Amino acid sequence: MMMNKTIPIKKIVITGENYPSQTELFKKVTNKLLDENLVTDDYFIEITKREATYPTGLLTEFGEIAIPHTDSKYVKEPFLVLVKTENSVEFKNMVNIEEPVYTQLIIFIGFVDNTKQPIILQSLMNFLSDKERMLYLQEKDGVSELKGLLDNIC
Amino acid sequence: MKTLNVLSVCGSGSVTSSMVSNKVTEILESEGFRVNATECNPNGVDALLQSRNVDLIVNTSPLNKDYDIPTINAIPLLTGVGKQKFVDTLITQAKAL
Repeated sequence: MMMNKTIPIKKIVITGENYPSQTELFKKVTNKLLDENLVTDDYFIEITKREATYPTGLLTEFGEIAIPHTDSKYVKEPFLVLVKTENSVEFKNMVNIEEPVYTQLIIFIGFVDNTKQPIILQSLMNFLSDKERMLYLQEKDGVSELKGLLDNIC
Repeated sequence: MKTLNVLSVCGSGSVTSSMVSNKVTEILESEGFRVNATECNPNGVDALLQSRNVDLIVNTSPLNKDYDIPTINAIPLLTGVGKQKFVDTLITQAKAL
């Protein structure tokens, strides 16, 4: 667990907005990531393509969530972006591309070299099935509270 | 100690499959197995099976076809739904190999 502190991961929280579609959500997040110089220019098209082919919507024990991510070659610096939307955005289920998953919680995962970050991935996975933190994520709307939650993950 | 070659498959071939292979390795090692885990995406499975020995496939994204290798859906590790059943199935399957 000591490694956690040595890996700088940019964390961004976006709350309080409506997104008419997944595309609009991806545009908004891509622009933010481009502003911060965290992704390449191809990120938008790649994340869109990846999500259409291999969706990332999950029906967890404690609610719906999506974890969009794409190949690390489109990522310049590691990041986690948590978006808590006002409206539900349609994703598809990771296990079944035909099945819609409507969610207000989206965590964009960006890793540069995944093999070096197994602890963070493990920690993220544990988070998704952690009742206390998943409920906290659903209840809280404050950016600093949500940022604190991301810091708690890794 | 028996060594198991585990192939973890997800859409990106890295992010989700790494989460899963780490967890699967942890579970199997605690049961006394040694684990060689590899990750790939569904399109990479065929090539991988030709180049190396795979005893067990765990997947989070649907596979392109059925393989002649025990395959377990690992989504419960991400969602928590049916997690214990997954762990039980994994251990039973590993012991049967």
